[in-house]
Amino acid sequence: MPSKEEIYAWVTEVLTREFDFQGEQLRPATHLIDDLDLDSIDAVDMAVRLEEKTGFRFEEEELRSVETIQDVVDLIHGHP
Amino acid sequence: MAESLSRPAHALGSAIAFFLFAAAVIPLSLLVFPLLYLLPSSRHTRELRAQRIVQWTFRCYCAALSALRVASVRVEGVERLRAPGPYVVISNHPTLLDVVILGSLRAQLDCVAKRSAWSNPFMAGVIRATGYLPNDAGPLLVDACTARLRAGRSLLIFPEGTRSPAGDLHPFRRGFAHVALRATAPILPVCIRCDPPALGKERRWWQMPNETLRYTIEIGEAIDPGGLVPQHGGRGATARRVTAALRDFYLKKLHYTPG
Repeated sequence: MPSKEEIYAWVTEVLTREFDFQGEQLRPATHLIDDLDLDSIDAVDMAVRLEEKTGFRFEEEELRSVETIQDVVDLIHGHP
Repeated sequence: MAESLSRPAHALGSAIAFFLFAAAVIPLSLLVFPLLYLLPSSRHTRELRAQRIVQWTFRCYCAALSALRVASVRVEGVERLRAPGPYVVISNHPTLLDVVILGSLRAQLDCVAKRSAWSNPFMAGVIRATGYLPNDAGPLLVDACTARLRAGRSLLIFPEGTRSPAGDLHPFRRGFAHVALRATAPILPVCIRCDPPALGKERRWWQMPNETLRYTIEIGEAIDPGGLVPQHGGRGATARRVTAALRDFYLKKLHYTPG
């Protein structure tokens, strides 16, 4: 089971590679919509990239409930 | 001079124009489009037929607007909109008549429309028969639009998702850029100006100025979205760059200050 730190690194890597965000824009409390202006198309792209990386499958419901980068990390980490 | 019509004459012209719209659209929804379903044809063929009927209706309507001196339309570069495509046609959206005018200029044009139009009894028949797409579908809408372009059909998208504010632009949604990039389809940018401002979000549709609305429809050169911006990073990043570049393009064209 990967640690939260590892998962956090994956999430920020995906956000950097997919959307070109810089390091200082990405913090655990960063809001995906308010701060990064992610739309529903971006959210699906992000989920697909994270699925490739972690093998974790996002349910549509779960994807809608996450607000911050930390929420994404907790979601993946909390999953069996 | 069109502008010298008296106030009552002008108000009457506007009233007739609004009545004509209902008079044109209701029989289409209730009679003509239901008949289309009776003709044996594929869905694709039926939708293209319905779109032709819509173009014809909108043409007549624009001619009536001009005859009533409610609005006059000047089009620059119409041949670009008549080329086969497929194109992602995008436009700013200052007024209620934008769809009618653009629809009158091209026989085949799939539109992305507000979801609420599906429950509007005047519009629903037209929207179903033409195969227009609802704007609330997010990633599914991107797939649907991409499929239309790959089938050779052009699409009209207002990137602001609603009518523009007076003298400004809303933020652009990025769906049109995703669609154009995925289908590798050129973007055809249309710039609409209406002088004096009317039929916007700020006033009710019946609060018309007391002079003929002078529309200028400027159809720009087709833009290859892939060649417009640097391609590094994922497609999400590219879509953001394409969207930002086109919003800047419109702000410059319309002489609005970026902000």
